[in-house]
Amino acid sequence: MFSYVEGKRKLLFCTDSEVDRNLYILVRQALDENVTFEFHILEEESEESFVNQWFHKQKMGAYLYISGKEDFVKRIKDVAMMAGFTEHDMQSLINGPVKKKLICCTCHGVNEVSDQTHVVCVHCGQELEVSDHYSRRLDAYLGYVTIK
Amino acid sequence: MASTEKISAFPYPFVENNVYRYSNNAIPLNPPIAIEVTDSYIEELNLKRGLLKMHPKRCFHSEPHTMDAQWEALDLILNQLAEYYPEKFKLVTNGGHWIFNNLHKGEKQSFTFGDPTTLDREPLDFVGRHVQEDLILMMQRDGDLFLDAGQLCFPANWSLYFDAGMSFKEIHTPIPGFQSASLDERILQFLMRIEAGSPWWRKNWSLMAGNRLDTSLETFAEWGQARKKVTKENVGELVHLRVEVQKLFRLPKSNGILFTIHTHMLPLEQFIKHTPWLEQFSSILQELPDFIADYKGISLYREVVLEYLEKELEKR
Ligand code: HEM
Ligand SMILES: [Zn+2]
Repeated sequence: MFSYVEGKRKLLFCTDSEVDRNLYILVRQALDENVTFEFHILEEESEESFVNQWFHKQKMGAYLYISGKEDFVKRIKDVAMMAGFTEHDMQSLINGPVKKKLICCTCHGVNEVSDQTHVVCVHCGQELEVSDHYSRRLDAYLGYVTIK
Repeated sequence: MASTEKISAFPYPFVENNVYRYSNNAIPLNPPIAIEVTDSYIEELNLKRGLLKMHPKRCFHSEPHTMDAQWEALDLILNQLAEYYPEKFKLVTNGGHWIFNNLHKGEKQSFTFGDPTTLDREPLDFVGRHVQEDLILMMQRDGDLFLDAGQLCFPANWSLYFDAGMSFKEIHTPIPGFQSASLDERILQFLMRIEAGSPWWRKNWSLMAGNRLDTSLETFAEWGQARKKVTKENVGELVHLRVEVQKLFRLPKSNGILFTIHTHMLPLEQFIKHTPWLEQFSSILQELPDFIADYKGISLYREVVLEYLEKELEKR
């Protein structure tokens, strides 16, 4: 969950969906405390240049909340970091599944998984067990073949 | 195909204790030789080179910053081959100009030491093609060791492609119980204190159904099937004790560690000919906790092996 951070000069909210309720309480609190905020619903990928400009024109003390699907959060975070925000200047919340990469031990192909324990490799058809053996180099987990 | 060897040369992996647990079982290496040339040299070299040709991405990996360490590893290994097996290998060094003669294989290579353009492969990849060992380079930085280069043809069910770049602890995460009592941390600290000129070694063991040396994780779907084919009729022939002789050498200039792995295999029917081995292994396997047996891939046929060992014990 998000937490409301006190003492910020300005709050920036963005989400990928009109029906996203995650930011609602924060917005209420900002209104109650008379803190300046801006709120954007960004439904199109093409709005990237707008987001970029939006982040760049912010001054010190701005604090960012990002809410949305994993890809959206990743993308907005990247743009924010490029504009000078750090991990300390923002919070994010992912709606829906968190995807991770799984490398097939047989063919080295990359699969996308969320919370399954077993998947079928989309490249070679091998059944794989999702493990927590993780490679930072590949940013991926290892999928093992099991013999039953 | 038969990569098994004579019982007299087999590195028996167990010490006094009849109970096997993961521990730091490394001991000083005397004499300090990183490699061993056995009777299956030519056969294993051919197998290795075939695998390297067919599966380069699976069998070799290197980060660019390992070049100096790779040359150091080559230096150490070629010198030892020539020193300890003079009838099989010759090395002539004339300043930077080196001539390595593999008389056993009938191959000669001249190159300028330190100049990568004079070898048609990276130094580690070159030297690995003249020894039976798999060769791993662990580079030390930020108080840790990283697998930054390796030539690996005979892995015991792991992937160099996947593990490349990992730290010592990251590499060992799949092993159950390896983090308990900070075993991984203690081994890492031990490794980082290894000094040049004082190498160490250890033996690791497992059982395997089949006699392939190239038990890569990439081909597990094929060779792993043999685990289901162990019966009381074929167990002595099909199941092998697989032992890795692992050696650890500090490379003084690059401060890396050269880790060499020599894999040996012996079918149970040979192994049990030596009664003390039969007795001790039988009690170790009997007592072995499930989590270790599972990790080593023995569980599917452990019972069949135990029955076989007991029957043999009765005959003595
Ligand atoms: C420094 C070089 C070393 C490297 C590159 C290395 C690498 C590996 C790898 C890749 C595995 C297989 C993991 C998997 O299932 O994916 C393994 C297993 C293991 N390693 Fe290491 N290792 C090294 C040193 C050591 C040392 C010094 C010790 C202990 C003193 C050790 C103890 C073990 C043990 C106990 C296993 C489990 C083996 C089994 O149960 O069959 N390793 N190692
Ligand atoms: Zn696959």
